[in-house]
Amino acid sequence: MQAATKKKYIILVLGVLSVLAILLYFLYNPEKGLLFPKCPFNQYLGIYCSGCGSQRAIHDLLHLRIKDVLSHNLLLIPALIVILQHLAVTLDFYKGKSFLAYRYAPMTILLVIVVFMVLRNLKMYPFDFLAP
Amino acid sequence: MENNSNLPPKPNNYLVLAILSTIFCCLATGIASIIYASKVNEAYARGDYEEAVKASKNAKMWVLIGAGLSALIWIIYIAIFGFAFLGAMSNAGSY
Repeated sequence: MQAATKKKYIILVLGVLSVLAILLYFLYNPEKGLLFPKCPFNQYLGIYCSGCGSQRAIHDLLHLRIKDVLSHNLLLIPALIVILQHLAVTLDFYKGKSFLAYRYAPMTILLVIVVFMVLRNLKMYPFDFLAP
Repeated sequence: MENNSNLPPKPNNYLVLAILSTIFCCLATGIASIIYASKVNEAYARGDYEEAVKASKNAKMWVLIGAGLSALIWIIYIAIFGFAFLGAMSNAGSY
């Protein structure tokens, strides 16, 4: 298969999967029921990782409950903004430099994730807001 | 960009996928791919193209491991709970 066609198929499949996933997360609350996998990290190590709460946060976001999104996972909205901006730049919807194209972007993101993860595991005010 | 106009374009550092993987699935593989993404940038900024390509390949590998792992977790999950869930769905008329 030609590379361009293959790429189109991959994009198509990913698109369909994302629509299904969005539907699933809109219809069902991950907090209730067994349908959604729990974070294995949290289940076995008992600490919150940087991604914990993102499933609930997506459900909240799809229902526009911004306050709940922030309390379940503070980094979800910033991450989505960064990724959407990057997509907009790569797909030529927007002329400019992707946030992710900067030299220190990976380092910064790593730092943010690690600091976030440490802070959200501190069980005291005001950091308890960061726990999912 | 940086002072390396004589180099070929920067190899992909897969940072988007790395972030997605860190948020939605696997912290460890996500962080590994972010570290390699950072190495791609550093090596390329130094003008070390070979090293950048190597780091890019590693970043890709960790992103793929993360994706595979998340697919695996979902499949196992659906295999274990999917049937129970479907059963519950067909019983529960009043969701």
